Amino acid sequence: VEALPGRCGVRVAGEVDVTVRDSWRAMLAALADVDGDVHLDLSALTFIDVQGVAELVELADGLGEERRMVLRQPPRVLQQVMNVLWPHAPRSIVVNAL
Amino acid sequence: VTTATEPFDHPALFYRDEQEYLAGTLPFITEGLAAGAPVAVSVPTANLALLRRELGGDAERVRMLDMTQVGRNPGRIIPGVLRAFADAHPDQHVRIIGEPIWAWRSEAEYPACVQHEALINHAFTGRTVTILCPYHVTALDPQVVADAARTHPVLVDSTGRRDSDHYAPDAVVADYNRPLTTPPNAATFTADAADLGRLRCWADATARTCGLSADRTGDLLLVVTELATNSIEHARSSATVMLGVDGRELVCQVHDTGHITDPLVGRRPEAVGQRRGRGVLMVNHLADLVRLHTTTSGTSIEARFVLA
Repeated sequence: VEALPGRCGVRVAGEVDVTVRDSWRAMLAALADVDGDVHLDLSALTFIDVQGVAELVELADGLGEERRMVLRQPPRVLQQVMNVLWPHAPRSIVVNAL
Repeated sequence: VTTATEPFDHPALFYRDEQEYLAGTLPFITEGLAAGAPVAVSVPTANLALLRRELGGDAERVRMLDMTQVGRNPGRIIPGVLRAFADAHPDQHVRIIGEPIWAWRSEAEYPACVQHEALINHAFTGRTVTILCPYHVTALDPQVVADAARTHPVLVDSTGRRDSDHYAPDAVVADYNRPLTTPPNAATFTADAADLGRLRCWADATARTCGLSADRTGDLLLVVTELATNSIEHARSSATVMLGVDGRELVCQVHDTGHITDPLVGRRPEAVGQRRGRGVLMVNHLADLVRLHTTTSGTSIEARFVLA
């Protein structure tokens, strides 16, 4: 995990599963505490499990009307989990392919 | 709850030929449409084409699905087909024709099929929904037809409609809770929480050696992770993962020392409020077949992926 320069967000590399559950949750909680949109560069994320996606969705749910969560280049597995389990994802989640 | 007050209606339709099929299904569809009811049909390819032809323009007002695709894995049918349609029309009397059992269902698939039919009764208790399940009695094994009388409270054939004297869905779930056979060529990896990354590396290499495509291998990696995570988090057990080939299918089994007591695990469509169920629900959506054997001394879940 490294901070994105110039905006509220992080770049995440590697895999999210039960072995990093606590640090994933803590990192998302810290992002929620900052004002403005939350940016997650997921282009180097190679795997995320269902609970990892659940925590992203919960964070987005808590952002309120004004703030968005922007996911940059999420892996295929994240999109698949969203499509099946959260087909009505919070409006605040924006997936950015670029 | 007695059948007299239970709003959920789950008849089996025993048909011998095309004429009886149409006599049992077409009025069910057209009467529903005339009443303004939401109607869905999920049946095998040839029967879907037959109904589409007979319905003509009315077919556009019916949700038409090929059960050999959307219900290939019986564990996906309740959340992905039946509840998906019924929940989208919460205030109306929904009508669905669901034909999940056909003569060419394999020996591996059948126990999951008949358990699915039994579990429909629990999944829809209290709901104002009718699910009509056609059975091609002249093509199916007599045991399959006998089982249908145990999984359906009501039976319909060319002579009319009657209550089933043999209705016993929980006994069916228990009878088909059978040990899974592991392919003799299977490789094994035993994982604890710290090993999940290595488990995925091993599964990735093993599945590709067996000929699984890149996309399906990606699906498999999520499946093994979810099942192993359930073993570690819920069963407080290590997960023994086995990968092997049976015919044209990759077989992935995960064994642990836990016991699953919720018969609807992985079949409720809500993502909210069910952590274990959410992982199994995802597995049900991804795999071509999911089978379960669970006892007080341990649980085995199997997910199969067809090799292209």
